[in-house]
Amino acid sequence: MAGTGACDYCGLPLADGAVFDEPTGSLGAPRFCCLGCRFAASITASRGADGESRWMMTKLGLAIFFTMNVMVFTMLLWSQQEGAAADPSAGSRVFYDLARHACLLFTGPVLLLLGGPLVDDVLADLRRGRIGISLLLLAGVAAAFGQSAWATWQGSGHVYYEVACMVLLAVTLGRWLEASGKLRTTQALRDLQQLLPDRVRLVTADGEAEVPLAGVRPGSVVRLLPGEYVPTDGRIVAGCGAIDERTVTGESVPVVKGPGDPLHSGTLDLDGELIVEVTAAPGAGTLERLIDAVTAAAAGGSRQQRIAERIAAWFLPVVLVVAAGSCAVHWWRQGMAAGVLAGLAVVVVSCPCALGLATPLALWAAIGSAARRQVLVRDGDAFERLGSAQTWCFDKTGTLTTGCRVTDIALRPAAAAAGIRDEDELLAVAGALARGSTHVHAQAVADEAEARGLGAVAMLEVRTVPGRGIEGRLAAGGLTAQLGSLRWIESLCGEESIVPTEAFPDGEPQSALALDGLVIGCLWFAETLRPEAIPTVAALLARGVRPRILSGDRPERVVRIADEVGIEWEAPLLPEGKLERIKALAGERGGVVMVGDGINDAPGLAAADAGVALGCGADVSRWSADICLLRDDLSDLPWLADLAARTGRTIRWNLLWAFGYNAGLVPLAAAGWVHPALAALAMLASSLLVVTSSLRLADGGAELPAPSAGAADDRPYPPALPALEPAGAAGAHR
Amino acid sequence: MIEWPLLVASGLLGSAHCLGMCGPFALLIGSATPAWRANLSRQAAWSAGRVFTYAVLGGAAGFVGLRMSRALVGWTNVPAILAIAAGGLLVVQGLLAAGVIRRRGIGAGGCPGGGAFRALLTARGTVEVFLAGMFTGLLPCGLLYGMLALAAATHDVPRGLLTMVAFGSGTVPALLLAGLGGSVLGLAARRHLHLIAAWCLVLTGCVSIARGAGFVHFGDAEPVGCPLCSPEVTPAAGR
Repeated sequence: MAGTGACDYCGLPLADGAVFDEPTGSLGAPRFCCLGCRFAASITASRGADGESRWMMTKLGLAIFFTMNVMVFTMLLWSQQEGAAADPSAGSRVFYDLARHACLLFTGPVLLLLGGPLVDDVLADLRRGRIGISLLLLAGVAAAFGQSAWATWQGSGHVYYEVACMVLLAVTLGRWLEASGKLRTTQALRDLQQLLPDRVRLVTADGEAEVPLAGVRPGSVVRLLPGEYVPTDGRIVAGCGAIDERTVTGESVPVVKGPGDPLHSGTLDLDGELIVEVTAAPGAGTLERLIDAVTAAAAGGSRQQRIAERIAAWFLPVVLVVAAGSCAVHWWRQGMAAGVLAGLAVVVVSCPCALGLATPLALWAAIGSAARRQVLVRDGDAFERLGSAQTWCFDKTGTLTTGCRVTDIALRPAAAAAGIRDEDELLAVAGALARGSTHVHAQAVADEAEARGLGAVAMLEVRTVPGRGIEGRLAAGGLTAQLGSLRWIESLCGEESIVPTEAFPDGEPQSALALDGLVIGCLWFAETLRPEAIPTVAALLARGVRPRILSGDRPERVVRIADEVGIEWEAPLLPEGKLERIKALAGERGGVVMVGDGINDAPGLAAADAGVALGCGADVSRWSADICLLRDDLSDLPWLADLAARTGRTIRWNLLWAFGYNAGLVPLAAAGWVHPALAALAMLASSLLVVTSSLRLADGGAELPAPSAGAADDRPYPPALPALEPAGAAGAHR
Repeated sequence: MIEWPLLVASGLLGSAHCLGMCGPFALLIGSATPAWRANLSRQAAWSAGRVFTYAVLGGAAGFVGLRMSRALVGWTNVPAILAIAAGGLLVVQGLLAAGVIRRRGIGAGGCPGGGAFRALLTARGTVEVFLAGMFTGLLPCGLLYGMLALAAATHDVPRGLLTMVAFGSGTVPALLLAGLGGSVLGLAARRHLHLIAAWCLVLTGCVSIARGAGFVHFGDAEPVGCPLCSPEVTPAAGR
């Protein structure tokens, strides 16, 4: 992950000041975002990836086992203390000594198992001339153990083995918890990254060799077999195959590609053997750029996160001062042991994890969860605002609608003379002309002809007249035929052929067909609503937000769509008018989300508090929106709104907890009312609470598309949306 | 003294309930080895780990009970109240198992240690399996909480510890069987056993409540003993 630099354990972006270089500090040395990741990595480093979590758990488990033993003997000691004071018999003394020695015996392994990483941290801190929490913790643990061992040796005095064990265990567990929490939040992105193969078949003049992916350069030629993922961007030199591009474009229908066609990294070659010339260095392909964009969003964080970070930066010095003060006061009043215990309790009970991770962990988890559902968040701030936005503006064309359909056909009097008897015969001619054009109306005509099962009329010399229509010649009879805008056809056919538009109740037809210089028929079109548009808007309304259309199109067309969907509308708006409306709405009702198609709506998307684009295409550098729905499916929107709202709630709850917990327990610990072993448990519970509440967000997304399962996109979401009430009930145009 | 047979029986009868939560773990442990003998030693290590955790928790509960009874010297009803609370928990647990009352949905939280726990369960070494058993013992379980309340009622560390060892030993046979073969009993038989066990749990809880209630002390009448450990002083122990 280029650019920001990422933690070598969990893969999250490195923040300044949280980087823990290896002692060498050299460029290639591993870097970690936090102590937990450093700890987790240091344990697993010698074991390899295979037994990684197993060995870590074994080590932690053994430490827990020994600590539990220490705790039992400590409780026995505590419960017998009063009795022993009253009964200084020989039996009582023997029991006492046995229990203390047992504690000593079980504490040793805990120190050996868990002390290493803490000592490493302290050394790394000292090398950089810093005094951190680790040093204080280590000093406290060492003091507790030293005093206890001395007391055991002497046979008198208090022992604090449980303090040494519990503090060490809780600190280690807390850090491991943080690290594994972070690891989970980045799982979705790692899953994506793992689509890329490690090795490729490099084709050279000498033959073919399997080499690591890193050995490939732009210009290299590789061979791709059916069922393999494209390792990096390239161009097909030879071969032909169906390519599943859903990982980068969201398009679930495979695309057939042949020589000269570009290939995106992370797409799947379904059935062809391809020779591919590499065009992008490994790591710079489409999929990697996509992952980089999401990682950068996580690195950028959000407004709340920056506030929390500023507070967390103050937190450490304050804790140190409170701990030192508490230690000094208790030392002076009750002796050294009380002072050390009180100071240690303050350091241990304070939970920097809850403060520092409250926001980012939830945000990372949510961003990862969205990526799993092919919703790519490129701006954490925008994502946060999306959760609280009250107004959702939709562009009409291409966003709520997709393409066009023929709604009506009317034959003109000249049709009979040209031998056209009914609509189908007219459509057969028009469809034959339209087949070659990509214009939205032409496609609608071709689709309609195909839907009616009309055979193709043979056409010769078909050509597109830019901005006007299509022209051709019937193979049978050689008559010229034109399909195009009404104005163009009228201008071709002369004054006498003008269509009297007032005769048509639906308004002016949009296209006409001419044969041999005579207007044969007229056609009307309407935009096709996306099938998921109605349930999506209903779901948004049910969430209490106010969706509305901002369109540049003519009002009579907008109102038809708006009524069908049940949504407020404003039209016609020039592009600058849209911008002004978005800004005004943001002022009126809090945040505004703009949903558009990413290319025509770029200014609106940028002006809104959160811009959501559909069909962003594979090239991430050309995206203008904060959030991209790769799958080009509106039904991701209610899910996204829910996720953003849940993320906001989780962050607020985490922050509330972190502040409340620290504000409540640090003073208690400073007063000497919290035993360090209990403080350790409390800190652990606090970390656990924050990490687990954040990780709930990571489980929200759907699984990554399975490359082999053709129907992976059939999952319905939301499962059962309420049927929309008749238009108007929900409040159409103001 | 505590009725150890009663505690072992609670474990034994409650273990039909255990099969629901811990049974899959037992199966998972068995899945790592096809050999019958190797599996037996793995199951034993796993159960030993569980009983070890129960014992430590029991000791801690006994200690908490002791501290409570010392801190609340004037509150003579502490052990009785603990016994009643424990009984209440057991009754609820039994009714849940019997399907008389339904559990409210618990949101699936993201446990960051889940993957690692699974790794331990399927590890080859006996130490790992013992540790897995130890962690299994920490899983939230209503039955366990009920028993811990009983252990706290002993207000003594060794007795609390032994209470939980007795209970834990009672849970071993069913889980051993589940881990070794799974289907010694047919589905219908297991369902019947489960239902009988659930009602036995309710019965155990009721006994605990009755004994606790027998010891609740109003006014300044006789000195109050512990409902579980001093039955000989009890004229009105609810037997």
